[in-house]
Amino acid sequence: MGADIGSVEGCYRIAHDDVAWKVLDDEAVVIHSASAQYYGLNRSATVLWRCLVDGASAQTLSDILASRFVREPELAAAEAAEFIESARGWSLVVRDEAVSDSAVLLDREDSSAAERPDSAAVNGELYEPPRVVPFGDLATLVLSGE
Amino acid sequence: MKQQAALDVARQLQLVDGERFDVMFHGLSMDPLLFEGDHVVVEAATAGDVQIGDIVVYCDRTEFPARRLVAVDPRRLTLWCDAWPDRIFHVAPNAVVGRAVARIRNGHRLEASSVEWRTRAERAMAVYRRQRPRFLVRRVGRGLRRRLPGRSV
Repeated sequence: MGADIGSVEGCYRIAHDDVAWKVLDDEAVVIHSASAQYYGLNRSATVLWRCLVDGASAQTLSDILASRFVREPELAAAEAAEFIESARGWSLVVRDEAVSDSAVLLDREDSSAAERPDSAAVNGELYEPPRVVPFGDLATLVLSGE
Repeated sequence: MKQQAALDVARQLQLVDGERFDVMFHGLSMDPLLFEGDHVVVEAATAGDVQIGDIVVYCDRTEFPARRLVAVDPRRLTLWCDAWPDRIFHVAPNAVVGRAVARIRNGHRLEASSVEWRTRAERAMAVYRRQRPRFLVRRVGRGLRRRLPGRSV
């Protein structure tokens, strides 16, 4: 693990001005308008991504990983930090001090769902640390009129 | 997620985010309203959102054709091209991904709500209505041919 939670202090949120995304079968696809790149998020990353809609701290994401995917707190902290660093590196999330982390969690309707242990994790199914996978470049889209 | 599945989702996101992503029209089928190289702004829409006369964008395998909606029934939408009056296209309602809401040509933006756009739509629909009896005759002919086995046409 290359990141620790101290390296990603503060609150983060999705870079809404530059990003569009959609979840399909519990995995998100994210497109970035400025770079015209598209990315895939695995299942655990998608859980964290949803928490970043309104903003959250790395510590909150770490707590969610620990509770939802039954991870050791130290491991969860490192994975959450690495996820944020990677998403920030691709400009998919931005640091935003205006976001109130605790308020976000209390206000989120699905906060209980985010903290509920994931059935696959409880059943001992394969867990993958949250990952952002760069898939490539989106060429200009063409509407066919032939 | 497999890359092709991700690309399909990404393309749909790109398509309906026309203010931020370039969506270009290719071909001559919607001339003169849409022409080769025009930038088209597409708004996300379902079959329930679109209206007769709208230019509807739908997903056909890996392509996104844009054609004018001329008729709707619960099972399918009938689409037509302004510059190809002899052909019609049938599309399942769940294939609809959006509708064109503006065109940008040489820096000029033409909105779907503009008089020019709506006038072109009305003209196109008038031409379609004149053509419609031919499509109905063709359809009846196909139905009859199916009911007369052994008759080659």
